[in-house]
Amino acid sequence: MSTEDSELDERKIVTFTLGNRLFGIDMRSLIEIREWEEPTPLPSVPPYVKGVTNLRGSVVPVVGLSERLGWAPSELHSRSCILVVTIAGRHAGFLVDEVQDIVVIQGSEIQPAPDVEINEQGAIAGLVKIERRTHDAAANAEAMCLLLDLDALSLTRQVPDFA
Amino acid sequence: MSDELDEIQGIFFEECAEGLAVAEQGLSAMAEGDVSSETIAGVFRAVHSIKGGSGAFGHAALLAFSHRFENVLDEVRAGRIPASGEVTQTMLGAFDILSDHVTAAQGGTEPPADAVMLEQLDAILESKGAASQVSPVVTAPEPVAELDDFGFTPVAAVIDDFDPFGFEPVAVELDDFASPEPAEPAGWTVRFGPSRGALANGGEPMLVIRELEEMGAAVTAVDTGALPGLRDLDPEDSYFVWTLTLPGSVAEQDIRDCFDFVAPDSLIEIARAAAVVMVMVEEPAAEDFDGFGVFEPLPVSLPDLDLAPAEPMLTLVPAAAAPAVSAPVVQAAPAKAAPAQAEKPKAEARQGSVEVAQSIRVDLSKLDQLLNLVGELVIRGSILSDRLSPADQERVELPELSRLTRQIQDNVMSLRAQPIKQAFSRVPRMLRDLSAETGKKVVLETIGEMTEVDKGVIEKIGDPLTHMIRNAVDHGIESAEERLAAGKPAEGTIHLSAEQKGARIIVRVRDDGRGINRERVRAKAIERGIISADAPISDEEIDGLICAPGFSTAETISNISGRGVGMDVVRSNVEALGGRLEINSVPGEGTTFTMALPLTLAILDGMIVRLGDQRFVLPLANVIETVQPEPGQVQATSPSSEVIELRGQYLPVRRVGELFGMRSHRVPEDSLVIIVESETAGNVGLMVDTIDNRREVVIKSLEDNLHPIRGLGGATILGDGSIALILDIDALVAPTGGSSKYALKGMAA
Repeated sequence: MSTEDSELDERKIVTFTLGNRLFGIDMRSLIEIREWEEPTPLPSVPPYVKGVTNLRGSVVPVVGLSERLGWAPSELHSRSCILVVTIAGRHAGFLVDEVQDIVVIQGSEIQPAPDVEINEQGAIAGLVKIERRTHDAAANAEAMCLLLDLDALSLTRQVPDFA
Repeated sequence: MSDELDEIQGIFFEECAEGLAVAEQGLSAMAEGDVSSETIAGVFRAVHSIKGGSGAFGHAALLAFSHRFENVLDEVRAGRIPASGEVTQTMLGAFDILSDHVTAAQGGTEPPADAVMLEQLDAILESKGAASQVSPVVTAPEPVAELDDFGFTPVAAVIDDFDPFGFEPVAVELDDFASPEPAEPAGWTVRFGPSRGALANGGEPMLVIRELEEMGAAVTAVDTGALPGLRDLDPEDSYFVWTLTLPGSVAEQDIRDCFDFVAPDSLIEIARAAAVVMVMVEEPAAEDFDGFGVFEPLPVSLPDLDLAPAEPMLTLVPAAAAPAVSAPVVQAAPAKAAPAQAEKPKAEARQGSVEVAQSIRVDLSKLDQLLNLVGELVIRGSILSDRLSPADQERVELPELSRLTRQIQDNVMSLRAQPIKQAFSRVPRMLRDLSAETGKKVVLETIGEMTEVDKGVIEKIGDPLTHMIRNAVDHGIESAEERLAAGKPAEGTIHLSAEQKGARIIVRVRDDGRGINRERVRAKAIERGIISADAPISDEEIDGLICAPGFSTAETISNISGRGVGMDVVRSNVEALGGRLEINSVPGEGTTFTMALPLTLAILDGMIVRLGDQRFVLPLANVIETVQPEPGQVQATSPSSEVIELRGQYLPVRRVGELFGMRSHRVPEDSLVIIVESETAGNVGLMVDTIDNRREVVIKSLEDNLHPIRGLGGATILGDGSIALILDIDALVAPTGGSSKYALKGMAA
């Protein structure tokens, strides 16, 4: 990774979709991508916490990222998958619709997020324009990608009591 | 390099912690009147090694303070300052500052204010100076100085001649005997050859040499003889042997300290220039040499010297040993018999410690990894036994495998087990601070501090313990006048005990104070709206109220407790650990807090139950019995509550699915009721669909990646890779109504 980090301030991001929107997270936070598998539901957690799953022997929460960001829950389909990420040393799985690509962007290309009306303040770290590759190269088009600030999505706050 | 240095620093701070524990134990023993030389020497050594390391790592403030502290200890050890109660108290205070210094050095924070304490230490040193001026005869003189007083000239001699004086004949070759200069101690010559792998192990010779140079050392020669040709040279190996000279005024121990962190197989020779001989001792007569009272046994562990076989022993003895032949010494000898005796056990202890020290340091995460793996092994084992018929199990010798697995598990668990002393060790310090704040004198009695508990438990009982002790001093122990008036000794006593009972560890904090003032507790609880004024309530229930959230009886909010969070926190912490808290109070006689904690937080004996397609683990410790209810045995008492009739008794029944809000769950006709014991609601029936089996599960915490969830004690991974949630019975069945309801029903039955 560090070989890419020259003075050019390059960053690798993993892009994925939620509905028709395109999101990106820092590649360094990604641990693995796994197929969707129904997690074990938990009591007294917010609806966006889908439950916990077994990630190589440790118990990891699975979050419906779409709900977490204030949109309608993702519908499950064959390409639904879980992005396992690390947030401040803890692990979490995010349910996303489809993983798209790994893109290199320049730090200078990132624009600050306008006052985005989303559920979680500060979860959008910035906006960046990327080329969205499709199966037909001729149809490639530029698209807006919302960069997520994972730290803002930390799950470790205690939920006071169960419903 | 810097990583390695950090690692050694880490070891240094671990050793500091151990040293502090030893010092505190010793000082406490001294405070209780044990002023034996071993005890004092133990404290001295502990402080001394902290000083040594702090110098090597450049913790100047820590070094300066420990040095001054050590000076006083040295005088006390030598008997030049009596270990009086006052001196011991000052040293206890100095110890507290020392531990603050260590904490500051470790955290890189501001060192504590130690000026006042340094003055006190200096005052002790000065008082000794004054005493010896007034009555030099009374003060035990420095043995070497006394020798000088006789003014004889040292003569080289063969000690065989010594027979008439009743000494063991010892074969000694004292050839090349430079005449010692009694006036100026000869300079030191130090030879230092780091072991080959010193650099790889982070034993940077530069640091050692620099430290020596700070004491005035100069490198006089470098032996490069071991340096191989370029082809064979490994740049990471260390080939040189340095020879350094130091002024004679430097204490030998200070030189040795520089080598505290040097790899054990390094070459280290420390000698008075031209005044040191090697003495071959055929019999283990080292103590007889001490019999002269002249020489401290050199605190060198023989293996360190890399000199030679253990038998016959090699001992470095300064040449001044020779004067012993002259007559005046004979007169002097009986007088010194006593100190010589005192030295003896110390020498033995030191030798003993060389042999016993058979331990290695292991990174805790490695142990945890091992524990996890063994946990998985246990799980696989139980899956195998589920799948195989008893005959097949025998055929593949599964019982034998299970037994071995079990043994491995026990062994790994015991690796994580630590004496509970680690948690108790902070109590004396706390009590001293509390005494100073409240003006109440409190004596601590500790029992069972070697009881071994899982390290995780030790880490987590610190806070509850702190709160209980504070509570005992603040609310329990009365003022000295009050105590005397009640016919009690002016000093309060707190008993702290630990014992293992089955799979639990019982920790008790007992004070001999005034006990819980039930009238006041009740009045306060009514005032706070925790209970209603007309509620019938037993004495035990009143005692339990002090653990209710938001309860505090202190008239004024003190600095110590009385914020109304203390005992509430204690109870929730203990329960979060899967333990129980009990309170027993006798008015006028004192209060006992009893914590019953699981020995381990890693493995749980559980019953796997099923609800719909989800599985849960019920801690077997809570399970009393399982009932297959007859029709009509479970009856509704309200639209949302049910009871089960069991041998004439009605017990509440909870549907686990409902407690967890499992909407889709349909309760089957043939549901089972498991009767569980809870601290919060007595015996309760839990309704589940079926029971899968009973097995040990490895507890995975939810906090690691999420947050604690009320009603769950964690999760576990079953043999098929799926996750089962572990039920926390006490939290699950606890009534969740208003706070008043909680407090009253939440009491221990």
